[in-house]
Amino acid sequence: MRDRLFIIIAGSVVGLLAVILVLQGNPANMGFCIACFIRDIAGGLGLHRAGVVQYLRPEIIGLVLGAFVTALYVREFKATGGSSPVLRFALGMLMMAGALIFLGCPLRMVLRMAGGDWNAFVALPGYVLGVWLGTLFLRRGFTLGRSQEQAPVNGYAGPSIAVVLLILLLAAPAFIFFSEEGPGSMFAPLTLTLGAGLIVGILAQRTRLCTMGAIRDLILFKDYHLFLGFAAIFVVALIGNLFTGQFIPGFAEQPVAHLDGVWNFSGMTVVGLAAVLAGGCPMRQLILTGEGQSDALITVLGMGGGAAFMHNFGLAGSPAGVAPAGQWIVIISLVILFIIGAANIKMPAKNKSKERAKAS
Amino acid sequence: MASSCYITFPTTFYAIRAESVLKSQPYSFKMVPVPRSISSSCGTALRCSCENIAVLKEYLLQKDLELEGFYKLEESGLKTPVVTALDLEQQGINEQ
Repeated sequence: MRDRLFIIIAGSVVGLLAVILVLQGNPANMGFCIACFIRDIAGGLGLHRAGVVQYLRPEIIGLVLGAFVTALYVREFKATGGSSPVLRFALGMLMMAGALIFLGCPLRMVLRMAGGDWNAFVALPGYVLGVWLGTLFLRRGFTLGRSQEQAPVNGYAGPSIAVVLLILLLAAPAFIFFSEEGPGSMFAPLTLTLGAGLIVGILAQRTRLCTMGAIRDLILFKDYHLFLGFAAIFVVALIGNLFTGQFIPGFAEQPVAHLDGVWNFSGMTVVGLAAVLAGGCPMRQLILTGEGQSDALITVLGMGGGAAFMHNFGLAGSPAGVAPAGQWIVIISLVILFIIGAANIKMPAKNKSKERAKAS
Repeated sequence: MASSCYITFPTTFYAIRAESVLKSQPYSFKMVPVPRSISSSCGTALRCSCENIAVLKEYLLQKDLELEGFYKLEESGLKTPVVTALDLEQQGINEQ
């Protein structure tokens, strides 16, 4: 009962802050978008040169530091890692690839739905399909292996990177890129964006809010605990948008969105499947990074690498749609995800016992 | 105050295997997300009655499953749940 109330509160706060951030300057329906913001940070660092999406987003810094400080305070900070790091980097890249085809992470998908963007309603079943495919692998024994406890410095790496990014944002040296037009040039004041990130980081650490876990638990165990948070984000953002005139229903002319239904759907299928295999949606990966999990940090770094790859090669979607090369990326991503899924299915225990019996 | 016991697993793989091997057994159990008061990880736990937890543990170990921890959770409305790690090594349940 207590946990359920907390996750509804956490989801509601995320929905409310997302509406406020847009009112204060963030791009429309992009109060929070973990994939877009990591992409902007990659651009700000010069890892890609798409001039309209370059900014060191304080929301991401706040999310990691909020989770870090909370985890330290409640003694849940623990440096762990070593569970298939290369595959986790790849999963982060693929998660970003799918998100940049749709133009948003699962959190932004919910916020786009709450803003009346019907294209996001097309993407939602694609996301559910991806998560469902992921649960098939889980049921067959998929695992990336157990994380091991590591030296504390591994756990501090993620929060340290967040602090360095904050210093770079404040100092704004010449080698950091800041968009002068486009979504990257649209942002709410620093105190608000950083504060919102910190608050959501704290709440998400305490409640384990996860857009992938919400669907996965419903499918696997018919448990709707995490889904309550997912639903609360939608309901509160919808109410907020209705009250502030930001609910503009329709398919066409939606902000930072395209009309290509097939690729909206399949892009989010890639994200859903990659998120199940990686053990968390993009936001959850940031929270786990704050808790000291270097496996999650590697996934986040993979997302940054994926953003650079997608923009440097002109593969990302845009309001004009998805280029043929981007469409191929969706297909290739699904193939790679199926290979990663199939290659990491652990032998069922009963077969292992039989093998042992044969061997003896 | 309602109380139930939980078995946690190192990965989701073992949780799903546990559900699979226990389906044909007469034990009453439910797979649930690990309660937040037990862990910050987003894994899956097996919830069962505290009378059965020692038997379930033995059965799952016999089936080659890796288990992580054993807990008793006492909940009362909106109050902070009381979590007790269980030591199942000895006969019966001893609270650590």
